[in-house]
Amino acid sequence: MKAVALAVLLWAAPALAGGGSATTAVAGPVTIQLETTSADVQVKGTAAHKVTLSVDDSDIQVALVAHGDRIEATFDGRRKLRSGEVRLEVPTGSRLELSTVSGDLAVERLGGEAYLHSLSGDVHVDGASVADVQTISGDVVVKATAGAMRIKTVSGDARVGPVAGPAAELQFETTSGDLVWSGACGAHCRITAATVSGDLSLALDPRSSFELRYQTYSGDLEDHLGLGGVSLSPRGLDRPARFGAGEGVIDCKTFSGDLALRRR
Amino acid sequence: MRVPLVAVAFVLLAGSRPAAAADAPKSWRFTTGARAEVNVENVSGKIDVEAAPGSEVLVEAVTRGGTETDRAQWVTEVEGHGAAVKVRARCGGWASSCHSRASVELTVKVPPGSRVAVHGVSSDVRVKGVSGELRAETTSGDVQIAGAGNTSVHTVSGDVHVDGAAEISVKTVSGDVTLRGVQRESRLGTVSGDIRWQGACAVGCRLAADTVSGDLQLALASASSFDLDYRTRSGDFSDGFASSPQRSGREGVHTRIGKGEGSISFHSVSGDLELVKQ
Repeated sequence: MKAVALAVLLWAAPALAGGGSATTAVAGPVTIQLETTSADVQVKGTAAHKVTLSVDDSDIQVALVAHGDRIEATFDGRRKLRSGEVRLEVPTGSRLELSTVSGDLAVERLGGEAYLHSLSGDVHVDGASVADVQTISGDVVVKATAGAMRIKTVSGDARVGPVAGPAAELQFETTSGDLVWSGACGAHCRITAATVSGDLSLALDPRSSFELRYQTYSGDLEDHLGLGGVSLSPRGLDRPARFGAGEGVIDCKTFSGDLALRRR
Repeated sequence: MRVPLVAVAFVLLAGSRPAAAADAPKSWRFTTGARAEVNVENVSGKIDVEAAPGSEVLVEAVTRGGTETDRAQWVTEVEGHGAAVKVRARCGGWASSCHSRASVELTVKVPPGSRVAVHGVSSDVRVKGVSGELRAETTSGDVQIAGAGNTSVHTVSGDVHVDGAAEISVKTVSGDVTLRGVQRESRLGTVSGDIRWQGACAVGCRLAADTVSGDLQLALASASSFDLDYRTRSGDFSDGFASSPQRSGREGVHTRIGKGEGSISFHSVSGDLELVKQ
């Protein structure tokens, strides 16, 4: 975070702005904020030391405005673009803060932290260091993100993985959205999921090593991993189940959502 | 070896998949008069309420699934005082938690004019032909209602299907709502659940819906006549009636279909509104 702030402060080059697009040179990764009502947003991380923003309507005056340690996108002087399509290129490792009502958000090769809020738009992240996604009904897909992930939805489904490495970190909360997750869960892995009626499906690498807790009111457990010695009641597992050496933790709470464990 | 005919019939009827084990049904009967007040509570087994002519309430409970020990943990409490009948299926004692794979299925027959309140947790609820006041609540169970009077339904993620009601109020978080044949007023609210309303909207029709991201589809008879007010931040409007809006802009649409006798309002942050002419 400090490095990002420093990069922006040291590089005060003015943005080249005009109808439909704007570019500003930066020394390295930046923090960038962008808001839309229903416009879709595509973001790509690149090796170039510049930020480029463009929209599909050349009549819109686009600008990149620096505020301290962050850059804010404006459209005809307003912070929020109503409709259309936005393309944004940022240096790899940048921190992204996107917010939309119903636009779809797609982030590719960011390499930095992605904070993404959507009401009904879908969110797709492929290659971030951290992903923090909140939607009401938008679906969420997160790939190639090894760091911490937090996903909250009301009814949006989430598909995560495959997660590289054994130290997956996921916090998932939903009312009725389903989660499909795949990866390994070993030392330092912590997956927590809480749903009302959303189902959870975890496809785990056989080299995984974790302790499983599952509390539920009326959900079912479908175990294709062969946890062994597991006793399920409608309240969930009577006691934590162990797979391998039990190094990581998978903690699932549902009201009526089912939990399925599969071998990856 | 003699095989009882009953056993043969059972095997033939059940096919290759054996039915879940069940205890013998238990039943209760109460004389309540034509306007019974019936309260039904269950956890995960289905609740089925149906109107039947007469002045009696009949309750049948079947504990199904799991082992005999699982089923023994369930208790169905039924009590009646005058017009009031209370039915409650519970698992475990008051202080102990439930560890049972069984559930109780409740079937209740009531006089048509009864006032009915149904509470399920993950129970699916079905109510048919009750013209008295009806209230149904679930967390994740679906609710299916047919031929009702004044009705209110609350769910978290359960879907709601209504086929015929005088007036209705429905609130869900993410459950979808399908309504057909509501005669007068519909008050509907969801966070992300979609709503489909089907019927004619003319004199005396009032429909007010609020959602965050849930869509509203109105499948309307061509003879419909109503004023429409749609307010939204980013929702789209699709007009199968090809009306001439009095106001149409970024924040919504105000238009009139026919003589504007009924009233429809839809407020949503990002939910779409679709008018379909039938």
